[in-house]
Amino acid sequence: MKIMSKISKIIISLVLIFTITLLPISAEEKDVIREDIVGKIEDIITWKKSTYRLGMDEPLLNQRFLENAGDTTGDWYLIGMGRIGYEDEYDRYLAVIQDKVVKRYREKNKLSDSKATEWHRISLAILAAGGDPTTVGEKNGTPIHLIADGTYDRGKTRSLGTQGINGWIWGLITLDSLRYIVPEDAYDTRNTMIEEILKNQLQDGGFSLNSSLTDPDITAMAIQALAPYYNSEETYSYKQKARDEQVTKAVREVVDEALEILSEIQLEDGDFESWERPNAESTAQVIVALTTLGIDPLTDERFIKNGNTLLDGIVKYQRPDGGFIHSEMYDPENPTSLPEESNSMASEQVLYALVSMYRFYEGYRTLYDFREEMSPELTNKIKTVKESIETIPDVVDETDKALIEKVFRAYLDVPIEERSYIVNYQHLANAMKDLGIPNTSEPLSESMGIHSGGTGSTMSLINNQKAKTDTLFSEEDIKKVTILPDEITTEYYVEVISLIDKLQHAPNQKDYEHLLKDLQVKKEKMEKIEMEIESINNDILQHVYPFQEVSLKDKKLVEQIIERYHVLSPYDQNKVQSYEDVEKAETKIHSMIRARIMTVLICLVVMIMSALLIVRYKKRKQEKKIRKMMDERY
Amino acid sequence: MRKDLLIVAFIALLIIILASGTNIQSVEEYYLTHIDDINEDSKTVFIRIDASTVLENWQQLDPALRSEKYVPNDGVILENTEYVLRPNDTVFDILQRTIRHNKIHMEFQGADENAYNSVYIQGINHLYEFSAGPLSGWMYAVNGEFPNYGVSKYELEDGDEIEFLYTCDLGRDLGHHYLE
Repeated sequence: MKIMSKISKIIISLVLIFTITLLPISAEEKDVIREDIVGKIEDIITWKKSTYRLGMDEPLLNQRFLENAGDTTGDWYLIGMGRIGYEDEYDRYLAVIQDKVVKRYREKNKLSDSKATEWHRISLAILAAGGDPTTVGEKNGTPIHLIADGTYDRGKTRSLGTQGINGWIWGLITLDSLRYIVPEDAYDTRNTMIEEILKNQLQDGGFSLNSSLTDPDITAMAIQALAPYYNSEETYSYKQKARDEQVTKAVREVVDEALEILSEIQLEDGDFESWERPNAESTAQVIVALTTLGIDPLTDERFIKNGNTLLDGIVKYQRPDGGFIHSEMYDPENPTSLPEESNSMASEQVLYALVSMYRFYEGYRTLYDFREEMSPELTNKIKTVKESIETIPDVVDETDKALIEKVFRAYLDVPIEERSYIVNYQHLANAMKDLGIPNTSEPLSESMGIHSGGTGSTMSLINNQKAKTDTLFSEEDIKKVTILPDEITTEYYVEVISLIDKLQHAPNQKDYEHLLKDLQVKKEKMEKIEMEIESINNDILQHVYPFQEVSLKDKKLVEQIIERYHVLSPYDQNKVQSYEDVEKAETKIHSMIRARIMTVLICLVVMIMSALLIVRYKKRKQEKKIRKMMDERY
Repeated sequence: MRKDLLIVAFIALLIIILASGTNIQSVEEYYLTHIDDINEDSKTVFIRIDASTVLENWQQLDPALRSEKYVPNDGVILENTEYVLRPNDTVFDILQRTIRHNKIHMEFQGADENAYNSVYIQGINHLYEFSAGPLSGWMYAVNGEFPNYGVSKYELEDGDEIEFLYTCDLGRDLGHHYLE
């Protein structure tokens, strides 16, 4: 009996050696890797800039890019760049997104109400830009609270799960982005969100949107959301949908099962496939998941295939222009992602995956943890606890008890919201279990919330300087105001909004009150133009269709639409939809008028002719009569 | 007497012109106003819009949308309709024209606003993505095939049949199977 257990312990320790032992990376190697990662990050941003015809040193967050602020194309690049503190004009993004959010709140239905992930993405982007998503402009006198409306109180309007597991995953990631406090009267709590994710675990251990087979992207995202709770001893009892049975599990068990299936489906090149296509995005998501959990993607044997790491797996998708492709396999049904052309979505996901990796190697917070970086004291404390956990042998006996209890006390001394950074806690927990030491650690979910607001950290991690923020309203800014045309068009929307914001926050704003007034007048003008465009679009819809029914009655309206259209600048005219149909209606009406005129003219001619005829006829009759009378007289 | 006859003939001629509908247009104008008229030589395509899968998933439907106004009794939002195919027309062009001519609601995202480089249809007749459960949304098929790319990327050919179909199960309820 005893021998048996000893043998099994040896086997277990062998297994542990094989799976957990990290191949140490030397300091030199680390430098090389770091430089390599930073280089690739810069490559991607430079490529993205080049697609806007911008030089390396010009800011990406320019007019054209910011028109997409608040959309999928605008936000993820910003999140990636912001999380490494890449220098750019983030304040402009904040000004524009605030204005857009306020507008969307004002016009109901403008922000997709079935897609909670819109709120999540925008919240994360605001944090990445150094803003505060809990106070974004205002509606009816109260600040707009994207975190409440998008996460814990979301269910008061529509369930976070309306769009499936995605809504729960991103809701939880967003809620933990600044470790937000969930108020008492909230609709959802951390635990309801965690449970919803757990319920959706598939039979094979992974997650997917709709299939019964693991999808690497969704599995990786689920891990990213659950990662802060990996060290929690709290168990959840729920009905696992795929098995249709009641289970009781801790987050750690579920995450470990998910990691196992991810390891299993990793391809020989180190990458992953989704929808039967090996691709960059799936690989990127797995990198984020591992680095969020504190697993080294370059040394963990579970994620090295055929000698290829995830990094090898992802760099194979890079193009010489710096961008990344989606997949090397050409899909005739998907011509938007070509194997020989860098793809925007692939590049943005690789960008933030590399940022996540960089943060991991440099000891910063995880990608979606937007709090201030740790103080040196806290960093040290965590380092010490991790090191002391490492001293616990793989096979423990009673003699180790004192040590383990001491390490456990040190662990408990780490604030609850920081415990996820003790990435080797599992080793401690297992040792305690083996020796029957009661694990009294608190459930993490209850105490995870520590902030009710605040801004995201914006440290520049590349050169370790606080990202440049020019708060004074400068000569250059004044010049920007003066070159704005008097006849403003919506083309200058981003410029005006960001200048107003900068001026309002500038310490020297008193000196430029006249400029502020001028800018605000311009903003109002642009808003009027926007309303006018919308009204024209509505009028076109109302009066130009169905085309067969366009009649002379519509003449005035159509002429008005045309007149109003021509008042707009060419830029704004482009925003009028299907203007060609108005021209078509105008032509039709003109033809009808011409026809009407012709008809009238012809009627007139006919009448004159007829009159002439009658007159002639009468005259002749008269003549006949006279002649007859004359004849009779003679 | 002969003069009278001449005048009568002239009047008759004018009346004939009047009766035949005076529509005097230049060639360009005629082309512009008749571009969507179907005649023997026109290339045409067919389009229909159908949300009948929602009928079987009524409980999943957003309660605010449970009305005949959004989901007709037979689920058909637009019967199969023939439209003239103009040169280089994409599926989106035809949909846009159809929607406008029939005054059906539609919301879309422009090609520069998303990562697909193509127009993305968000909602038709107030039915949006996820309106009837997490796997619901609009899909389109051309001649029975479900293309895997955007509506504004698909150029049509004479005789193509377009269907916009609402799915409540990522296409599986439409007989379309993604690779699994």
